[in-house]
Amino acid sequence: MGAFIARRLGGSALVLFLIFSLSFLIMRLSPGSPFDQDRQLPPAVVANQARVLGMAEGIAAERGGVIVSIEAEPGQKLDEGARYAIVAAKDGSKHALRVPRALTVFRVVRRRGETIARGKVLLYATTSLLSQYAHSLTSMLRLDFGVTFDSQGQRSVADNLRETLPVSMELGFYALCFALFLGVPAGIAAGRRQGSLTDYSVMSLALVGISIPTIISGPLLIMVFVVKLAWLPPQGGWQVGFFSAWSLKILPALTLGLVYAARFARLARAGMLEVASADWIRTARAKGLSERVVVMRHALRGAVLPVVSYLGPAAAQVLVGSVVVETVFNIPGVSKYFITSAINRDYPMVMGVVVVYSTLLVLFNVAVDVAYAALDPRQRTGGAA
Amino acid sequence: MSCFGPQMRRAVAVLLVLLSGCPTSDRRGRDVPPKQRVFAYAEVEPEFIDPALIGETAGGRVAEQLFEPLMTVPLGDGAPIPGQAARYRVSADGRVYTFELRRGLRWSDGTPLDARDFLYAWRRALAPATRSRAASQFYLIKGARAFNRGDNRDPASVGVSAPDRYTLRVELVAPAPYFLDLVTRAPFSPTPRHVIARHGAKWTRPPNIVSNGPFALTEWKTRERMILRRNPHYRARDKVWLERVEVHFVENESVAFRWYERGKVNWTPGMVPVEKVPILLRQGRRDFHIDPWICTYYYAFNVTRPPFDDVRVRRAFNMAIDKGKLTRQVLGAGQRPATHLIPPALSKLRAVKPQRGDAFDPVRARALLREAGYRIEAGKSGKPFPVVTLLYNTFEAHRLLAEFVQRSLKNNLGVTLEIGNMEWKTLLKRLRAGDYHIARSGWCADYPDPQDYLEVFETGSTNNYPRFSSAAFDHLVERLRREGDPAHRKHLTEAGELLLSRQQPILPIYFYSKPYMLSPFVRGFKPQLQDRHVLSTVRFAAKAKR
Amino acid sequence: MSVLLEVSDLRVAFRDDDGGGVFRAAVDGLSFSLAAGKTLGLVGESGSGKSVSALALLGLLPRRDARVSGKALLDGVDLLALSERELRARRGRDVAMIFQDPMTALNPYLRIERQLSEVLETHEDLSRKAARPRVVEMLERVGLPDAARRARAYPHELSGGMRQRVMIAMSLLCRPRLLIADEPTTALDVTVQAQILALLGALCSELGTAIILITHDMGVVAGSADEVLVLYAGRKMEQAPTTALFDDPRHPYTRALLRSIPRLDGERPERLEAIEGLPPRLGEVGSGCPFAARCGQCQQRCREAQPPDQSDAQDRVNHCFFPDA
Repeated sequence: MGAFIARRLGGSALVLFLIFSLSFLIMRLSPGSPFDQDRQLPPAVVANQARVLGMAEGIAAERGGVIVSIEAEPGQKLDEGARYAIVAAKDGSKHALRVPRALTVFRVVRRRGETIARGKVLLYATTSLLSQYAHSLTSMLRLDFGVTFDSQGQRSVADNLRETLPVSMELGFYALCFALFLGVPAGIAAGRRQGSLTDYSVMSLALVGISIPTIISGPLLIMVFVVKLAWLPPQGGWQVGFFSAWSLKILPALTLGLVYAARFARLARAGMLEVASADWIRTARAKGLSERVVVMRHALRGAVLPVVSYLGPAAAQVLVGSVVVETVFNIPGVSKYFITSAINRDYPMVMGVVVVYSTLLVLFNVAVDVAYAALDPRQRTGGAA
Repeated sequence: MSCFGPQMRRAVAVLLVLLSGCPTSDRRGRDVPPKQRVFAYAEVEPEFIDPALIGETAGGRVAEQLFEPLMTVPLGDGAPIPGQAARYRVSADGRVYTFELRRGLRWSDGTPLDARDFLYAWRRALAPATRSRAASQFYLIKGARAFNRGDNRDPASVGVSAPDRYTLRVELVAPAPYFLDLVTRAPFSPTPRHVIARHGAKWTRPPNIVSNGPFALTEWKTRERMILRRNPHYRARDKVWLERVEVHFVENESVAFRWYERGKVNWTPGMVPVEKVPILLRQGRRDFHIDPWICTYYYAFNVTRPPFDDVRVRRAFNMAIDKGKLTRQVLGAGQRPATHLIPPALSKLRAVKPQRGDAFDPVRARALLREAGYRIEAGKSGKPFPVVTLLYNTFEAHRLLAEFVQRSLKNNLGVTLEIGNMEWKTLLKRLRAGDYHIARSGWCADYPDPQDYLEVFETGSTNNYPRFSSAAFDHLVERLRREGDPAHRKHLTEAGELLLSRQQPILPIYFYSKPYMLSPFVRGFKPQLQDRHVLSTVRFAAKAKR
Repeated sequence: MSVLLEVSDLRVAFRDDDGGGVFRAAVDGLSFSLAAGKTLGLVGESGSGKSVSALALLGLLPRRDARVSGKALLDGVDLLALSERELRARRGRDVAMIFQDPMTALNPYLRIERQLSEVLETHEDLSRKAARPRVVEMLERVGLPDAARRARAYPHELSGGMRQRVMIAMSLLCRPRLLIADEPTTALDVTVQAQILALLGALCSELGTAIILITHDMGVVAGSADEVLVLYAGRKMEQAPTTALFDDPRHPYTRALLRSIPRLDGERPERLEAIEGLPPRLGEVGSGCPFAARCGQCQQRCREAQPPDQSDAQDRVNHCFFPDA
């Protein structure tokens, strides 16, 4: 089992690396940058901001001397090898300084007439995609997510995640618990008596649950329980902590969990039906076991396997699906950053969310695989005997 | 100012209310007069409140309660009034402002405050290391641009000085009568050097934060709320009636509206579900307000590309659209139809006469298009009108609007307009690259002066998406920038707008409005063009306003 | 010789697939008896009703879709009249069953030990711990090498033959009076088949357990059964002591079946003789002999009336109008 987990974790690291690299590329290659606001910022301001993101780097003079002229302006685009300054050496000979690659000038830090030593920075410009990638990757490996662009460096990505992630995870946890505790028993009950009234009611409810998206069920539940019946307070805020402030948490958890409860019910029912016709269930009956033992010990495990294998994707969908629920219920979860930071091209925040979320999801999938293997000995390789 | 953040929230809100349908019967909250001197409002959580960085609405609103610059906004629209400054002098050429500070000013922790705190704050806002996006608001000050760019690293090169503890002297690059309006804005607030030195970037978090305005921040619970208490060291603390201001964070208009109805908040600035608007108007609710706002929604024509390089085509398009019908049918939340660039409320503020463009006139529109050499009816002479594309950033309201325009052009001009949506940054890129025919755009003023609008259309301006270029217009704007005399400024402004209305580099659609709910028990609150309200004047009355 | 099981007029009908109220007969008036400790071979093609009869005796047919009538006296107690609870107490204790495919008949999610011990826990009220020595002992008796360790294994870790040994061990744990073995060797290799049959025979005679050996393979019954009952379309065709049946098959169907087995001794026939045509579908038997349509000696009479029970002095039963034609 240990080897099994180690192997899965090793694969996960690779998956995470690929997700990171792909997200990085998608983010950087999509049009616009965090500096493109609806009101264009002056190049100087852009230059100051670019440094925060590791998107600006100094271009060093490849020769020393007195600066005779500078031919670069902030905002200017220079092709590879373009001349950006002329320096005069001690013997009076003049030399052109050329940019090593295509770049956009952010800021010129030297002035005409100044003396510059070889290797000293004359101007700051956009960094290459590769060096941005290296910068981003090494920061991630040091678990340094940087500061967010939307807060102009006032808040770190870690701050944002620390404050919002527990909320989303708590909500997702409740939703999944709710879905499991409602969906699985209902599905089992339906599957045990195929074609019965229980079966028909559970399946009809499940169909309703699956067909109504959270964007509709959420407001409907608010309408009924908050506005009309006034049993629950209007939404707002969220106190992290299990079983605290349940009156605020019950509706969002219900809304988010409903769809999954329905899916779990269908899976459990299908699993139950499949297992019920298995030869080993007939064997169990032929042994004279009571119906309870047949169901609980022999049928249940096989019946819940489809549910377990769906838990991984379900967890992913619950976390991502919480965007709508968090918006409808004004829940201070992480979902806000999903959309706004991507639209605003807040690179550090986007990468922070991507890395943390994919890590969570990958770990969750490993956990599901381990659980699956624990339930189904055939999945384990190496053997127990 | 971004108008695109709330898209997602809106989309959800639309559904929310469509579903809830019937108005609620819940009146418990809003009909009861507040018992305590606590004023609460609902708004999106600000990302930051450091006044040196302020550029967005929510952060600006909080910063305005906490920090007071030399001048401050009056109640309602009007000239700036003295804040931390007792008085000011302007030199004859309008380029040197000398502010005299009040005596005995203090920070909320009791530390004395003087002109050096302003000097520090302004230099800090401009320093490249601060990376402020608001820095360009200081560029009117001599040397500010070069210092912010890092061209000159000597802070003394910036035209601000403090000859003594109570005097701040500011030198401008041009006489700008709107400079005093700028000075009321958050980035011009003083910032506490002693606190920033100790806490760095975390200085705006309670309990670190120290401020000089009517209120002081005592609690900031992320994604939940802020609590501001009356600042015991504020210069006019006796005139502040409220004891506490609460900001409840909300991402969704429907929730804000429900909070208001239940009495959890007294004010929902800009947060009214769009679908509730007709209901509220029908009910004649007196606590529902729609104020004008200085923002204009328009389509940009790419004037460098056929067919819109021909002014007759641009004018024909403008005349083919019934904007009155559009605002009523498609928008319906108090927006005003626009035939010109500058919002009328802003023109009124500066006593400028709006220079209207062509009105809705399909007959003349067809005539103009024919004159431009295009065939309108089949069988007639002229070239067929090419298929052109209107681009907008993905959002339901933009789509509805674009479809209305598409129908209008088909019906009135027989022109086929294709419409295409894309994500905001992608549209921006195409706008900046000039890679479009017609595209959704708009402008909100940074300071309440029409000059801010006219500067957009200067040759080479980064926000001049139509790529409009007119030597006459550039000349007018340049003169306006240097002109200090109000009467001359008025004429220059009118001439500039008239030129734009004739040349029509844009297709004006409507002027924005700002809807909000405000408790009928609130006094000391007036509509304000820039939606700026310092809550030090707010009181509660025992009776609801009728 | 005491009679252990006395089945009379067993009828089973299944609800039609369309879910309506029509029931079609699968077993049609089957009667036989079995003496204690003896082995009865139940032979027929697939669909002839052999497995259904066995499941009916144990009450393992789905109640909603199957109708069972008749009598099945086990030691004088009518199994078909028992309540589910009373029947459950006898299943696995008095009557045990082995199924055809040991790959699927064992629960893949539970260890061998657990699946065996729960029989003892249920019927002898033993704790799991107390059951363990008996489990291991039984596994040793069925010839599972290294039984103590193998008991901890999961079914998929054993070979097919091993699994069938486990099944046998499981069924004999409580020393049942009757064991129903439903095609116990069909899924196994030919070499393993003989071992398993030998093991089954040896263990049962040791324990005094009677066996109903269900098979379609005449070769299997030849070496194991004391008596053979040939079933066709839910009806008994012929019943006789094994040697008598093989030496002198009287029913044309029995003869056809015997012709279809490959001979291990003597010369191989030119080709395996299969019976032409297909057995009738459920409930589609007319008024005559069910085998009439495929019978080489069929006459007019065969199509019109059912051949009566023709017993003779040598315990032979035959349902054919023309037994020696």
